[in-house]
Amino acid sequence: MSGGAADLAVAGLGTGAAAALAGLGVLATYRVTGVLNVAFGAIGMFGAYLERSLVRDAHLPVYAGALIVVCFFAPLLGLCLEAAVFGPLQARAADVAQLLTAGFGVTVLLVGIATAVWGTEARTDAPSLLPGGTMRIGGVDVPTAVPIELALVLAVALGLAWFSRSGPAIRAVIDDRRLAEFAGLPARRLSRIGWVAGTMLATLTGVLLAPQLRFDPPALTLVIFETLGVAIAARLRSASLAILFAFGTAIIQAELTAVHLTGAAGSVLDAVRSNLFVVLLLLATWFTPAFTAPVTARQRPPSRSISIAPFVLLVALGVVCWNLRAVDLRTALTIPALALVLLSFRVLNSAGLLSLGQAALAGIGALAAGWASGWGILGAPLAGAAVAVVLALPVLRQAGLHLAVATLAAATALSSFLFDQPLFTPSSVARPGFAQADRAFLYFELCLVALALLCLTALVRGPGALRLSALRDSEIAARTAGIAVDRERLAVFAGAGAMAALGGALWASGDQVFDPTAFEPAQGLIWFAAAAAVGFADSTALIAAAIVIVVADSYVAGASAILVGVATLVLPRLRWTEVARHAFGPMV
Amino acid sequence: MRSALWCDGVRVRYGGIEVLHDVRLALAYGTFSALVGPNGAGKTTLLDWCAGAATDASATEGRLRLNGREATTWSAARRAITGLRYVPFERNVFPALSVLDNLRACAATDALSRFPELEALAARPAAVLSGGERQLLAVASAMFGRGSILLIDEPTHGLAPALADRVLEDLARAAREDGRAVLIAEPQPDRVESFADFLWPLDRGARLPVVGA
Repeated sequence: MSGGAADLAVAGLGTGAAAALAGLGVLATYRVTGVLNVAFGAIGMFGAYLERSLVRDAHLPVYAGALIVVCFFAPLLGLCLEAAVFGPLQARAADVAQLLTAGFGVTVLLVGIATAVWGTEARTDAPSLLPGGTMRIGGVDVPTAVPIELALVLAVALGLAWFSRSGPAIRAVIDDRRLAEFAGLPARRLSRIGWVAGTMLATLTGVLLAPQLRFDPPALTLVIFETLGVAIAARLRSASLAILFAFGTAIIQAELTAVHLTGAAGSVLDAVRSNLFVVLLLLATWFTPAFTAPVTARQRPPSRSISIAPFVLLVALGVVCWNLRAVDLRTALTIPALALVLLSFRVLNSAGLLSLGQAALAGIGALAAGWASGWGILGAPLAGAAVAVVLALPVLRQAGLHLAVATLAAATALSSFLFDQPLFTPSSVARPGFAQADRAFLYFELCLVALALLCLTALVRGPGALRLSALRDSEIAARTAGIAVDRERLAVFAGAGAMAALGGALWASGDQVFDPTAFEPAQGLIWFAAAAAVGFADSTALIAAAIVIVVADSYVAGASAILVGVATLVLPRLRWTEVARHAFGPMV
Repeated sequence: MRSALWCDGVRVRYGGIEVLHDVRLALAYGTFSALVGPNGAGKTTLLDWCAGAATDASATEGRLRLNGREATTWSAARRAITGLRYVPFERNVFPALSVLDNLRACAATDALSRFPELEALAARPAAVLSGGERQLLAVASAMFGRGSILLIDEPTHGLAPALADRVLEDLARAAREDGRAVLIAEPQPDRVESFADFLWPLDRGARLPVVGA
């Protein structure tokens, strides 16, 4: 290896160590609790901000700040999450969607709080915990921090290995938490240890990474979250594989900085280099064998009844919008578009599928509307369906957690490699000729939502409904009953992709511009969490959620994130949708 | 006889369907009882409810006492710590652990001397056991483990007739000699009637008069 390449490799070790610690944190929590802690990015971000605040604002020494954050705040947060959020969910055998939703709820809450307390401005003044300077080892300049980071990773890995091999009782809890509880083993106590270890490692990652970055709350959360690929590539099992992938990816990323290309190839290379952990996440979900969360619950059979409630809500929305001021009318254009994206979760739910990538498919629809001006809106569903099929193919046989993570990885990749590249994004998005005025466009949108509801009715009552119910209930039973499971799943993905893309096309046409931030993965997580909180199978609630999100954001930017975060943690406990269902009967 | 488990007014609903209707049950220490009834009678649901495992039910009612203490609101883990050991019908062994480690985790290694069939499999991961072997391991883990109240769903399922008789014999002995309270679910009454002290018939979610042995 030449001196330059060795220097670059050493430079990558710092990032690799941070990614390895993040991956080990995810493994620590998952292996003991069975919960994929999707909030670890936000926890790391919050830890980094808190440490920065303690050092810069309260003038504590750096080590004291880090000690307070990692050894006091993080364990406390871990215990609170276990006691108030995930412990109770697991006690009632929550399914994957509920656990993911709770994780995203915690994420958006922490991002919302961090934004409210520390603002959205990008910062570069995070204090560095590790010493600066370099030392020369074997002819290579090695930053002094690197050996310390490597020692930290080694210590954590050894600790995890010792813990997971210490006695059959602990291994029994790791193997099957539910059965361990029946056997009187200390599952809850180990759960607390898992959460404490996970949050400590997440905050340590944040504290180590922040000084290397220009960051704001959502950006830092996403950077830490992207390292999830490390844990996924290790199949959420092997600590040594996680470390290998973390350092391997970081070193390749560093080495790529020495490669220079011009033109479009250069742009693509830059995108690949800065998003290499996203690439790892995507490839890991495509090529690792299935991993599933051990906690599953019997799925509630989907309602096959029809109600006029969502249509009534649409009419009411149309009546209210008739008298809106121009500026409010402009805001209201987003409601039907978002309603369509949320209704796409209903399509997926009909076959028991989960997707965290609907925002990206909405983005594809928005791009299609921009590329084919005017009537591109009608081509958007085709584009959405096609991309959904392409993205679904590699993970068609996966389910639950694996499918959710795979779709999130695909959404992140689409956002990074397509939506964020000026090369691909249109400068403006035209509306159809007859709907140039905002009011005309709004009623056009409402008609399309009504049409989508009719399609949903056909889906839940039509000839294929029983096949989808069977598939949702038991894939194995459906296969043995002669149902073409893969074909049905592809059709459902395509249908949901078409609906989300139509929503995205309407969104961009309403704004008359393509805004990549509208279709970021983080936005998609908020939408997923909102749909999960009100119930995937309740069209009326999904449309109502779209109204609440748009109205909340029109008053305070980002308010919907906090609102959805609280809703995901509170609504499932209140089970108000079930109360409403009992009171008012089933809805479409 | 000291009361081990007592429940009353148990109702469990899945969706709009009530599968247990006002069921009442009492177990004393030192007795071996069997819930009997056809498929769909509600045997597993009742065991699930007693163990705190009926988490996917849409609604439950009823009162539960363990060792005379009100336990209706207790979690499955707390019930287990109190001495209730539940062996569900499915997912009843730790698949990644070897047979020996399964028994070690449950402090039930004495089972190896009683069941030589398990000793021969001691090093094998539970994931690769046959259905019958897995069932034997699950039942042995509970029988020779810590619990003082054993609830076992179909302990003889998948076992050869001779082995099934040995298992039932040992369960009866665990009750009478060790003073435990043992309750099993069994769809075939004739299989258990010669071993059990009491048969608790269930039919479509309703309890019929108890039959004393």
